[in-house]
Amino acid sequence: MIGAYATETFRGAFLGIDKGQVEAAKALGLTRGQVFWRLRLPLMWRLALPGFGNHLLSLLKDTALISVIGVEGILFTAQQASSVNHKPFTMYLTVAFLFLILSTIVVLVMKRLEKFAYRHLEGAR
Amino acid sequence: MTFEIALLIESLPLLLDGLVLTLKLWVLALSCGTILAVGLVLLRMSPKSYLSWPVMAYVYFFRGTPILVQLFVVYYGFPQLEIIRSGPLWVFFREPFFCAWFALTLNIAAYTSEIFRGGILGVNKGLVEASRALGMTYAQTFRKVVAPIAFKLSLPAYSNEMVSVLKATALASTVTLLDVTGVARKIVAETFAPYEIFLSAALIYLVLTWFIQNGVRLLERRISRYAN
Repeated sequence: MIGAYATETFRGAFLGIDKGQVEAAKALGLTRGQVFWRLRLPLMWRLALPGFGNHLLSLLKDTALISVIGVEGILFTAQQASSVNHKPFTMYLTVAFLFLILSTIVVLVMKRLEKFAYRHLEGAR
Repeated sequence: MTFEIALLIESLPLLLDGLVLTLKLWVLALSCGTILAVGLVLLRMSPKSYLSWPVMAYVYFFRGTPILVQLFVVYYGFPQLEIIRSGPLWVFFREPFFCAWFALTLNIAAYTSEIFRGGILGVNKGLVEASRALGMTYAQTFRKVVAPIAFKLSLPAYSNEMVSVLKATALASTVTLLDVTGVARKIVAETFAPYEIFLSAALIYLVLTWFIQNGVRLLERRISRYAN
């Protein structure tokens, strides 16, 4: 499922690449493979990062769904725990906060990555 | 394992029984969530931090946690609290449908308020300044200039939200509700034919999504009939 969504993000990013840069690379005599690996791919990543970060976040939250089919994720463990200690509110709210911490980490990492991707522009702005 | 097309077709009418509940949940949650989102976005856009901060925290919580966990907190978790169990609200919170609606509404409100905020921020500042210069009050400017344009700008993102809410209603089956997915699970338990049954359930969702997307496309065309 992530594959389907991410494909669209990457496609959008590839389309967003400045055509002039590709043409310049071709004019400099780079082969198609070289243009792809050295120019298109790094440029594409930079554009795809925000969308890709959103996918990571929704993937993280979708992992909660595996408890429905009985795999032992955090939610499944909380289900079992609350059936023993009869404190479902405490248990599930804890799970919610664990997810909140995880998604905060993902957001922070994505911010760092974006900063890294645009490091050449620093000072220019 | 054999694949029986006949079973797929046979299960469709049964699954359509669950369709009523899926649609009811979808319409109720989406409409209430959107109304709530309008209120939230007004608070969120307020320059007063004691108004915007609580909304920010609310949105952060509901966008950072899975909807399934939110649903479980409401349905399984709330009965632990004495206030709800012995209070007047128990009549509502003991109903799985109400819990599913409640959790979905709060979730939709968080996402939709961010969509609307994006729309409002996208409105050309010059238009706002022009209407202020024409002597329109702040409220008039918002109602007659900002809101219509922001609505149009938010529509593509909002249609995505409509589709994801439809898919989120499938989670209602985890709290014993017999929506399309719930009915499908029941039939699978009786027939041991997960492929055929879940595939026909997926077909129903696919058709619904198609209708939503095309409905919004028509609306978009109507709204932008004056453009260009």
